[in-house]
Amino acid sequence: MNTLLEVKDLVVSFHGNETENKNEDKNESVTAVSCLSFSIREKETLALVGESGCGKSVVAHAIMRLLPQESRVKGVIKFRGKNLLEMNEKEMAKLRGKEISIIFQNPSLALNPVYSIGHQLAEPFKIHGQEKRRAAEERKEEKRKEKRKEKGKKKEKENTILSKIVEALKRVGFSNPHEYMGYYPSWCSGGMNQRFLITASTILDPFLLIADEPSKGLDRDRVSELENELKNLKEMNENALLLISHDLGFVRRLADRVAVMYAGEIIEIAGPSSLFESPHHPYTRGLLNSLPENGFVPIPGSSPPLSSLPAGCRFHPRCPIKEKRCMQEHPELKENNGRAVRCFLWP
Amino acid sequence: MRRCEAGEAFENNTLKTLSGTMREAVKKTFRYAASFLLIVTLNFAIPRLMPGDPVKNLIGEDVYVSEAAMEQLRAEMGLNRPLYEQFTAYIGDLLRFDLGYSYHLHSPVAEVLRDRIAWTLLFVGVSVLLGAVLGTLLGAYAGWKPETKANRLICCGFIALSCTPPYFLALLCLDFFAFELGLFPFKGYYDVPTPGSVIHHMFLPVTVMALFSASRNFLIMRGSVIQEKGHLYAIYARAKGLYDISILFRHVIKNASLPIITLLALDFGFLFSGALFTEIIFSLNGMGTLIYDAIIGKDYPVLQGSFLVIALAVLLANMLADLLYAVADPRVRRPTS
Repeated sequence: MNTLLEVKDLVVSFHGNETENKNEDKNESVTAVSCLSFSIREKETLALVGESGCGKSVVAHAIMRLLPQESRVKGVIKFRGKNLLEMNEKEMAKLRGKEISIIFQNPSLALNPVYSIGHQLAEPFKIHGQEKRRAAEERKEEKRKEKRKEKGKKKEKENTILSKIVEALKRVGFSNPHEYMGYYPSWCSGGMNQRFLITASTILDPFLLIADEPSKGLDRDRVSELENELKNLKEMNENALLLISHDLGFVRRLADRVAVMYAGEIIEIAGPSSLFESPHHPYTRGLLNSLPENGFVPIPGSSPPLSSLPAGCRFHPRCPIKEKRCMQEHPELKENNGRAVRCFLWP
Repeated sequence: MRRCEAGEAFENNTLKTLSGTMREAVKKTFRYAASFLLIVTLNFAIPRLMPGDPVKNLIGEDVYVSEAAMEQLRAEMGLNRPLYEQFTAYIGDLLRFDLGYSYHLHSPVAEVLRDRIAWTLLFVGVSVLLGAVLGTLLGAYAGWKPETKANRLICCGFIALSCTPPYFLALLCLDFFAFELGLFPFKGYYDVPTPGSVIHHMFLPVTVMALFSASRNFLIMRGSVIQEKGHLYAIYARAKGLYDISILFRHVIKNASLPIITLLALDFGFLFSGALFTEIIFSLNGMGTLIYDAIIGKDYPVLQGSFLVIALAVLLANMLADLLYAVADPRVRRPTS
């Protein structure tokens, strides 16, 4: 299968207000993601897991180029052969929502409170002028024809959009979509908004869907519902999925490959079964041990702040099996038998 | 199953909110009635708290009139009765839609007001509308890109404008455009009652009031857009593929302009009072000059009538804003089905 998205040596750093910190010697900057590399093949689901604050969401926003202005992004993000980081904002806007889509972690806030669900679901069609090109062509042809006919065609197009939305809403489990299309996000529950958001993001059938902590804040029933919806979506549309989550069970059931992140870098990549059954990196092991079903054993200490990372292996202060060189040298991500680990203690 | 629950929940909600809206409506009506009563009382009290005697004023300071004649006049106008009797008479007249009879203009107050208020409403209405459109659009753009030099300059300009009293601005405009350059007439609504003449005469006063109104809208809108554009839905709009300014127009502006509704209702009253001064400066024959003359002449019925009408206009504007919110913001209403 072809590679759809390739991220190479991605570095994301945030610069504080430089003028305010003039008296400090160091330029206040935090590196949220350092030298991150991974790839997603077509139709593949890659999960990015890790604790809160390890840089997962930053990766998602970096791919979509949605980071705020005070961020600096370096490296290469190749999507279908084009480097996204070299594109200008206008070219990027054409890709967003059509070829790459994102589902945010807070669906009730991601939907605009003052527009109806139907309006917001029809928007992707209006933005990515599928009808615009056609309309331009038609206008040339129809210049001689009557104006009334053109109006009829416009209505026809609106109707096709409407039927597409209705169909998509039915797919995510709304039996009477017409009623819900007149609703507003504040009238609906979080779970309903989540489904509206998924529908809005996938309605144009993007090549890559990024789900940024979609299960966060949902109760267990909703999470399993969401899981089914994402599964259905994948089967139906065959798009690739970058799943960002800290819910390990959720990830295990959905992902084709799992990448574990710690303090801004990937420390292990493997298939879900091999990762969950025989984790190599001590952090991954610790993470699995901290699950309730595995005895609720927490990893001692807490992850380091991104502004002052420890020398050597970033996990060494919390590592139970650290050696001397772990404290001095920074380990590389080594590939072996289709899985990669960033640890000296694994060959 | 899930759908059933959702449906039930909504039915319950609508039932609950139905009684809720009823209670809310009763509460609001009561509040408006109470403020109306307060307005009527103040209307009666304030002119009478002014120093001076209306009868003496009517006759003129220099003319000698016997005490008996003055008493007779006072009795004719009902001013010799105790205050509470005057008040009950005033309320009684109000209930019969009778606003009284002007001492100076020698005609019923209602008629005088009808002649004057149309012009002031035209003046204030056009100014509020222009100010709202200008201030909202410029403010939205300035909030969208607050760091550009042009927007910083505009912002400074509007802050200066909002701090300048409108009558002062009116004087400056009158001096420069009408006196120095001779582009506009000094006074009045028209020479001949044609639309062209009216526009020519109204241009300066409307510009002054519109600019003043725009400066207030501008500052609110700018802050509102800066706040709203950081919300997640704005980022999601970008993630949907919207480019730059279309995010502002398609998503942010509607959310950001909600506070403007309140401001417009407030502004309506504020501009009314500001318009009075501006009218006097431009010698426009509207409510402003009427009130001014009535204060100088202690013409109680005219003062009471004009204050009442202005207060009612502001009250109505506030009620309209209340209703508009329910239309513009789905968060304050519920599904109707």
